[in-house]
Amino acid sequence: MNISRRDFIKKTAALTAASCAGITIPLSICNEAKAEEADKWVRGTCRLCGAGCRLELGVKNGRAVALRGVTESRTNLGYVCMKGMLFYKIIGHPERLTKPLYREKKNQKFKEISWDKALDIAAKEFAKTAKTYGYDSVAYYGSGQSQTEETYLFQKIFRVALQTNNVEGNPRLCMASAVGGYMTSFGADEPIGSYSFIEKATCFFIIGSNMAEAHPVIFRRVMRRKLDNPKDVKVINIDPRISPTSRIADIHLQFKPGTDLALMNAMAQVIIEEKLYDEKFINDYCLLKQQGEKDVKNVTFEDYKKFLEDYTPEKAAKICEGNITPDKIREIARIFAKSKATLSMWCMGLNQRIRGVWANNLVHNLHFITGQLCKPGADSFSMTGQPNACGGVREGGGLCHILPGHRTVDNEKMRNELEEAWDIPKGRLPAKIGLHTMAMFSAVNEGKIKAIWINCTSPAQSLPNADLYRKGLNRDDVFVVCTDIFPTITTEHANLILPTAFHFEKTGVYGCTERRSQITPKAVNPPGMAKPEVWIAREWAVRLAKELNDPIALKSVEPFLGLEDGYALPKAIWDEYTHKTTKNRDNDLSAASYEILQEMPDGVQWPAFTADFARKGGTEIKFVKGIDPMADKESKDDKPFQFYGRPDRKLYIWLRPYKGAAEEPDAEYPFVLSTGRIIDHWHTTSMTGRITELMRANPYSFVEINPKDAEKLGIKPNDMVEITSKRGKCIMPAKIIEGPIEGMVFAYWHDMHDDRMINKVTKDAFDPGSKEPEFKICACKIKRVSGPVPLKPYIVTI
Amino acid sequence: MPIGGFVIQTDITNCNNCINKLKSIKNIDIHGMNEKGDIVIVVDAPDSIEMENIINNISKINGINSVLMAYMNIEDEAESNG
Repeated sequence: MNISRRDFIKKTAALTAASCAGITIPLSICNEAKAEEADKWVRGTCRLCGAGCRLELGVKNGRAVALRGVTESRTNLGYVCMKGMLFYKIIGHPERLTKPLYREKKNQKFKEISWDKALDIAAKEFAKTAKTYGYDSVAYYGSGQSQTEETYLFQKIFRVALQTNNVEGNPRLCMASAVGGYMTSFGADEPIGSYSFIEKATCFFIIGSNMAEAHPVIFRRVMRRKLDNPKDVKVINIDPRISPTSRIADIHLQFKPGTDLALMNAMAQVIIEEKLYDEKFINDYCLLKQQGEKDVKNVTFEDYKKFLEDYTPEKAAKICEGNITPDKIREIARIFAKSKATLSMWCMGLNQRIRGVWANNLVHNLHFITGQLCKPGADSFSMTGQPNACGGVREGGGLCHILPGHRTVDNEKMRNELEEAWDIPKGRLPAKIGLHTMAMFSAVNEGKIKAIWINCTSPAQSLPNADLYRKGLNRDDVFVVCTDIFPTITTEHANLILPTAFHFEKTGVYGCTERRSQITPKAVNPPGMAKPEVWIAREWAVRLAKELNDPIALKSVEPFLGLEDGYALPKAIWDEYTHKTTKNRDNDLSAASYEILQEMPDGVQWPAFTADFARKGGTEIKFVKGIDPMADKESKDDKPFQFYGRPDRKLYIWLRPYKGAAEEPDAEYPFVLSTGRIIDHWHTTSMTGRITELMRANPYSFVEINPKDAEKLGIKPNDMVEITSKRGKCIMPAKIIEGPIEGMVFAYWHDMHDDRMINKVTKDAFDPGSKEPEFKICACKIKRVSGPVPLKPYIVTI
Repeated sequence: MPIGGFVIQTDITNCNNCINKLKSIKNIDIHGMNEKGDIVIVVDAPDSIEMENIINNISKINGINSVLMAYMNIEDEAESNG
């Protein structure tokens, strides 16, 4: 049979899609056409969002020419969303940064310079600053999009060579409260179960997550589960805004923003009042805790019951308002507790809050008291926003208080373990916790941090109250290095811009939401002089050690000297990280070698410390004996679950009161402003804004306004609306929609244009535990400023 | 000229209506469906902007819950852009 090449491609497309859906369609494939297919297919992970979808990049003559999902992958089962489908366009994009750029003063134009000169300048500036003002005058601010090898190497250089824990990353802005929640409730970070629970759950409790837009491929699985079992599976959606996620919900509760802590306490009250709790699970595995004025105290179950008397459904309904009634609270509490398997899923709606850790604790509480945990389908499962916030930053030591392998900076024994692993003198690693993100950029503002390396992220746009922190970045006495693939709002404040390789232009590992590490090998060359971050960091560290005249500083990169940067260098870094810093830790990845990661369609879930186990995919459910090898190894009794996160092996049920937002509406600022992601764009649009199709679909931000509020204020669709807070203002077109609850407006946060950059308006108050800012709630006022105005999308260029 | 393979997830009670509406859209081949209401289509568009438009239009059809990509070939376009 002869078919054209185009017909062949169409048949391949049909077969691949049919394979995802489990549909058999008879198609014969022509061998002649096959010979013209891509030269090679390189299996990797999607670059956008935290889902960890596996896909294959088709390469022909050194160019990216095709994409396909990996059907055998347990993350996405072959599916990819539209945003993921188009990310290949960033590879080889004409606006990519391709040469190092430098300027001494920030009002000067950038000049192209060589790599030698660029690395010399960076080394001299950081060494001079550290020697003149002390080690804590320098800082690293990284990203949940950097590969694990990159985050690991940068933090090692800053801690070993520059002796500071001023190591942070943008996951502080999105996942820190989830970390705080898991640590305080479980004693161990990251979810217990896996995406595979979706196909086993009978109740989905989706709170503070618009997963239909933020994690569309995972949402597909939830939707499939619901559609296949319309009567047996219940979906409860808790969100002050009606979102595309709400459309599959059996019950959508819409409430006054920031009151969901009262709602979750009320659910617990009902569960206990109606004796729907799992007494054996609580007795076997839980302790009850309450934060006192000075310390944490143990409390009894009776104390908990008494505490919850303040949160009867009647009382909570008055606090929450919206469509919440006492009966609705009772109904969802009963569904949650009685379901065969309840799976809670949440994201920024709970995390980006002044009481984000408490909100996380209260979800965990519901699972602890009902025993909805450690069985297939039942889990308290935090979704991650970025592709490597878990793997690189949470596990690799990318925050100011943590070290690689889930260690903490303030623990001397753990610091000593790393000093031994890294072959540096005992006591070399600094004991002082570094500055968290908001403190770090405040220190930049104050001129206390005088040299900062910003890698793969754009804080000048993504920080709350952004104008305030842009002032600091613009100081001429603050030396700013940016490593990135495109110009951004932040590179506008840089002295030195270093062009980096993009995904599939370098080799490295991402660790997604479900504790799964997956490799993406280099498939094509980076453009121009762009280089992988691991090469940049290593070459800089060699020069830095020389400038510091400190042989110990060189130890940070000594094992990696001379290695080729496409594969051997990241492999050596991964081997050191996994073998020397994760071994015998809860995130043990010592068996997940590059070779095994490349064999697997979908990587390895930790813990995994034997090759045979890693080849099966690793640990699907943590803490369960017979499934999690660490639970068997750490077993202290004959109980089936071993919560080895802390020595007492207990889960903590926390008594957390309802606390409102840091800034509540008042007479002058009567609205609540919330912000969030939309399906077409990723973060600050430095990437997706350059993809024509995505920019056409959503060229600029809108503010969603409830029709009742719009009518009161005389605002019509597409009218230009000014949103003002105590910190700043934006003007953007209105979308009048039954989305946000009355009294709330919702703005898309991705727009780079100065008029529409909503983070000029958001508040920089942060959770006292996690230090994560409350992006989701601040007070604002809105007014119509004009009718519709033609707008143009905006992207920063050099 | 990109070619994409997609799975369209529909409410099973509306699946036949969705198929009828899909048949009226240019540049789409329908390759099959399953008992759950998943429909396999191939879109052969003149450029990736048109591809995006087609997918957006499909998403708006009443009864269609999601449109997910499983395969994309863009080599002609990649070469002409390069």
